[in-house]
Amino acid sequence: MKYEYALKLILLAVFLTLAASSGAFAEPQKLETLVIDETKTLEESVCVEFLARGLQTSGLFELEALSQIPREPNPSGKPYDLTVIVPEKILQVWLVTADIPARLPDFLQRDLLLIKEIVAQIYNGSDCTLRQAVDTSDDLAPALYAAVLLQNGWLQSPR
Amino acid sequence: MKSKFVLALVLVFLAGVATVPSAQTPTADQIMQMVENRFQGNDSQVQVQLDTTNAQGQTRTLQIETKSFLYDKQNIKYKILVTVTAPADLKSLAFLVWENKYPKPDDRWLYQPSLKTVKKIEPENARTSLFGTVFNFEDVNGRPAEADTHKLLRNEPIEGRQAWVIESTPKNPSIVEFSRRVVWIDQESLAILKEELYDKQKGDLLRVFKLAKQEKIDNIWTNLIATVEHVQTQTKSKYTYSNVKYNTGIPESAFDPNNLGK
Repeated sequence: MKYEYALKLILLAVFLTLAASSGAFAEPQKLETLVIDETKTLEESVCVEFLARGLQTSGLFELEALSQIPREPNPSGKPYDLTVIVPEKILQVWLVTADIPARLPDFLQRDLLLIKEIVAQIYNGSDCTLRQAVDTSDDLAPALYAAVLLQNGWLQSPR
Repeated sequence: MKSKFVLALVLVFLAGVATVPSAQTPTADQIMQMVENRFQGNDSQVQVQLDTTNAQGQTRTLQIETKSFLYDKQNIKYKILVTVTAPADLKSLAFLVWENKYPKPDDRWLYQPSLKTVKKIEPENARTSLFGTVFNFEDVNGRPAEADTHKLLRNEPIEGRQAWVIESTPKNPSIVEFSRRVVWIDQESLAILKEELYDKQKGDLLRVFKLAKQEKIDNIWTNLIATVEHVQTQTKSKYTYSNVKYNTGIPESAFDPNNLGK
């Protein structure tokens, strides 16, 4: 009886170890996301904070920030899965990925849709000036910046 | 008939005495300069509730903590730190202002807690909305006297306080939303008891500010409750100050942009 109990404990421990190493119980990995906030006014910058808070609340994104689009290679060598650019003068939010959404993994496509929803909630309300989220298949600007950021090591090919 | 005429003359004379400023009255420019320079402590700390109600009657509340520091050197008058404490979607957002002497625009920084970023905000018109309320920064911190030309219209009582009534027109109308403003200034506390702004289009009433409550705290006249109504959009905001403290020795480092969010 004692042996049976001990054997069960050992088997359970082995199972948990294997499960943990295979990622079965791991939380879904957050997307490393670079937010580039080019806005300059108080009102617009507060809206970017709303956007960042919305992304954080979803629990799907790990955020870092820059205040302008980098033109030089990424010094950290750590590329991001996704870049969200809030341009100063163009009333859009650019969702910059390494490829067009249709060719991205399902989870990334879902996350892009979620970001579009968050952007709509924030920028279609009364507090923030209307902006529309566009991805690399919607508009030339995000597609162009995807090429630049990919080349300079800021963006990585989908995992 | 004659006595009625004499009575009318006496009344006109008395009315004149009551409304025309006497020789001892300071000039409009002097009054506005006194308003600007009134002592507000070497430093102060206050909790503020801002309630904004739109035309549909929906009210939104914002709670902030404001710290200010009388710097008065290197062309900087005050350093002011505003931190949002509620609602949750704005909590910890912080806004730092170094109020420069006119005409240099203020220096401003914003701390975005979700991005852990401090960013310099471009010099903006100080009359833009303060966090979506009808108040602007000048309502809280005062409008520089030198920004306008002033004319003393009359003395009159308002809400039981004797006030100077001054009409001001902006020297640079292109950067403000109004064509002229009329202010009622309390002759004792030098607080603005009421302000009316008139628009640029037809000179219609645009906005009305009213001070509802003021008290002396640590011997400093302090505005505690004020309302402002945008007459044309029918949006109203009200600020309520609490836990006002003066001269507590807030360190100057609290107003360093590099320390925002720390």
